[in-house]
Amino acid sequence: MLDIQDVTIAVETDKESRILASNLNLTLSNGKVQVIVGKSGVGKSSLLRSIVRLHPVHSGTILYNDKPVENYEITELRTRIAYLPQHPVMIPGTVNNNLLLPFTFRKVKKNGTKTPDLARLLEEADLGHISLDMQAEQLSGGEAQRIALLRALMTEPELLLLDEPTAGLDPASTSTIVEYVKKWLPKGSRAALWIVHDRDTLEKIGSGPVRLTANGFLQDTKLERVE
Amino acid sequence: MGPSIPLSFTDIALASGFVLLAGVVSLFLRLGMERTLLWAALRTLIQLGIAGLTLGFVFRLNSWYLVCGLALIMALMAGREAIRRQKNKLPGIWWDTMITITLTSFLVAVLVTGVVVGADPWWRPSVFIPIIGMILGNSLNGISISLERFLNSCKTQKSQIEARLLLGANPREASLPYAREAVRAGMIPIINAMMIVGIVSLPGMMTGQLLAGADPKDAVLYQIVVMYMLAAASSLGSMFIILLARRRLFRHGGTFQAKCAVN
Repeated sequence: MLDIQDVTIAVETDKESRILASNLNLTLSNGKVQVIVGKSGVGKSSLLRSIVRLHPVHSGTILYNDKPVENYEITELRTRIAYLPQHPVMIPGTVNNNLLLPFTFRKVKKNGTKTPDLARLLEEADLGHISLDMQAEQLSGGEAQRIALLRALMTEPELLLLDEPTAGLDPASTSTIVEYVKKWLPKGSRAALWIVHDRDTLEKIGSGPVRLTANGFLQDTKLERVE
Repeated sequence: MGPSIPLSFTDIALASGFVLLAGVVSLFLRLGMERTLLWAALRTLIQLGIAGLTLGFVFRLNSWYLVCGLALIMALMAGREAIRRQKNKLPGIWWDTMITITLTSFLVAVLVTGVVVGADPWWRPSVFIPIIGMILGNSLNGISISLERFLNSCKTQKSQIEARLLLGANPREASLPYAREAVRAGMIPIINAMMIVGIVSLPGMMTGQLLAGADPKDAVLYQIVVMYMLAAASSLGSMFIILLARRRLFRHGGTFQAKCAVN
């Protein structure tokens, strides 16, 4: 599903580019969740953002379903690949406004994506106590992140990129998010790439991480090296 | 009502007594403003003198390319001022501002002189130059306010805009709330002016016509046309600059260049 080939990640400042990590090679196949760990500032977020073209790739190729991501029409790419940032971004308005936000966009309307039963969705994400009319700004961090996850999945993506969404969340919210993604995964041809910083989340996901270093990915099974 | 009373150089010499009076105030209160005041008075004299000579020249020669040339120079000056007021320097915005202010001002001015006022020819200097001058002064305001507001929102609301893009929004959809807010901000000054005109203030143009001996009814009719045209110019200018700025911020079909808005 996803092929990262000889990718170099850099941050572009005014005139020069500072290389963060190079020789990145990774293949992600259907039905799999791949966990990525690594020091902060090594380019984990930038790599995930490169996949959805929010960040330019310095060199190398990222293939999504055997086609370079830059060859996709941008809204097409972003409805097929969902990205969940570390801090959930709620738009001003109600929970309902937030969940239905993707359906206000032309691309999602054109795709003919069906609006799901929102009440049932909330129930499945342990958010049964949340009213759809509630103002999004009143949500707790863990609730907002679960709403953000539900919203990211509204466009019916095949690939889910998770950029440490459980960092700083309570264990219950973390468990719910992990369980939700695990349940989402086996349906159809789906996969997830998950940046994790803490042992708790890593154990809950329960699959072997790779470590992102400046010189490429390392297989990393020693959980105690996760910081 | 009577014909206008022309002023002579003796009258100007008399009026400079007012500057002297201001100078005395400054000396008396030790404001230290005498030199600045003198400089300002001189600039007024020289700038308006040059403007008068230029206008006299253009009016006498009475050719469409001179009129348009002068209007273009005025538009570039207005554009320069609009850019000077920006805190966010977005690369390429110089061109966008110049194009916006020139196109929208010429469009509205030609419609007013040619269609509404019915000047023949439409570029008649004594009509076209004052009309486009008023439009420029006004849309410069609208354009700079809306651009400033838009670039600021894009900077501070970067995560909101990115969140929308990531859910499949195109650049227009992702920045729509901020674009709307910016155009609205650009239109507020002229709407406020329309609300109070004739009650709190008598506009300069109308006052000028009255001084020149015009019938108040005619002066008022002109002023109404002017207010309406300024509303059109402000909203067109604000909308156009936001469209162009958005094109610069979202390149390559949606890579959001928030960095551009930061410096």
